[in-house]
Amino acid sequence: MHDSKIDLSALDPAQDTERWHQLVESIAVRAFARRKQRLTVGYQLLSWARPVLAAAAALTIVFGTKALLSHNEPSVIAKKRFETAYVLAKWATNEERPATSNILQVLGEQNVTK
Amino acid sequence: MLAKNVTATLVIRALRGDPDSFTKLVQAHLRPAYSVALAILGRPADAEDIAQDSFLIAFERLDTCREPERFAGWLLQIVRNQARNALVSRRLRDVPAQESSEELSSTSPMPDSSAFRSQLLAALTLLSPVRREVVLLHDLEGWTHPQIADALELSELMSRQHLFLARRELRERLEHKVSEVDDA
Repeated sequence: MHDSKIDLSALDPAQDTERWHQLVESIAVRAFARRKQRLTVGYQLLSWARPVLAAAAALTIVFGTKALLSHNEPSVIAKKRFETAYVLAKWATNEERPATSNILQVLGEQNVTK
Repeated sequence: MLAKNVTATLVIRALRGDPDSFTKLVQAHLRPAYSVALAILGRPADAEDIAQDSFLIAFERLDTCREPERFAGWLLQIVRNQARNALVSRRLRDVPAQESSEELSSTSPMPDSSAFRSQLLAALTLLSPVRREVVLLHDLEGWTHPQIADALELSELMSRQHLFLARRELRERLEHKVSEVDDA
């Protein structure tokens, strides 16, 4: 039984060499652009936003619960902390990217109330 | 296929942001990526899409390629995963590949290129996925057994065996098709 190569050239994706060359260029350009974007400071910060917001929400819930249970804080402050946690958690779960001013506003309201 | 040290150098340069290295890596690996995607999906257009997507994913995650000299194997694993995901999605929403079910025209004893292409695709669907990958990488891409064994994490002996059986099954299928046409 012979075991010579099977002619699969009919399946050659580069039969249209011009089109194939353009495809290679297009992939390389898009891949480079995406990688470059990934390395920018802004992208790195945005990629950190979600876990940071989630962690902030979790911490606020923990400390808010502690405050409620200890009865050392007025209930208004504890309630405000829960509201803050709710907003942070909502941003985190919806993968929202709030503006820095919004984040400061939400966190600031908590401190003002304090 | 590029030598391992050349591939490693290109990967390291790409990590440093050298655009030429991106182009050279795509030039060297797009065809095998396409072949592996075709082996799983059976449709050339889908295979091309998956090959493209896989490159974008690979370059985004390039920092996780721990052995730059084995970039080909690492990339082909991404292609395989992407193609399998696409296949699952397609099975959920779609019907079997039209191209693979196309039959030879009964009026032409010698197949024209388009019909022969369909016939080849249909014959390939009868092989196991690993045999499809091996025969496409060897007979279409011109890879050697050591290169296939390295990229597919097989022994060279297994690569040779898969190729032998894949060719035999393909020949049987293609000869069967031609005799069907002759009888008609």
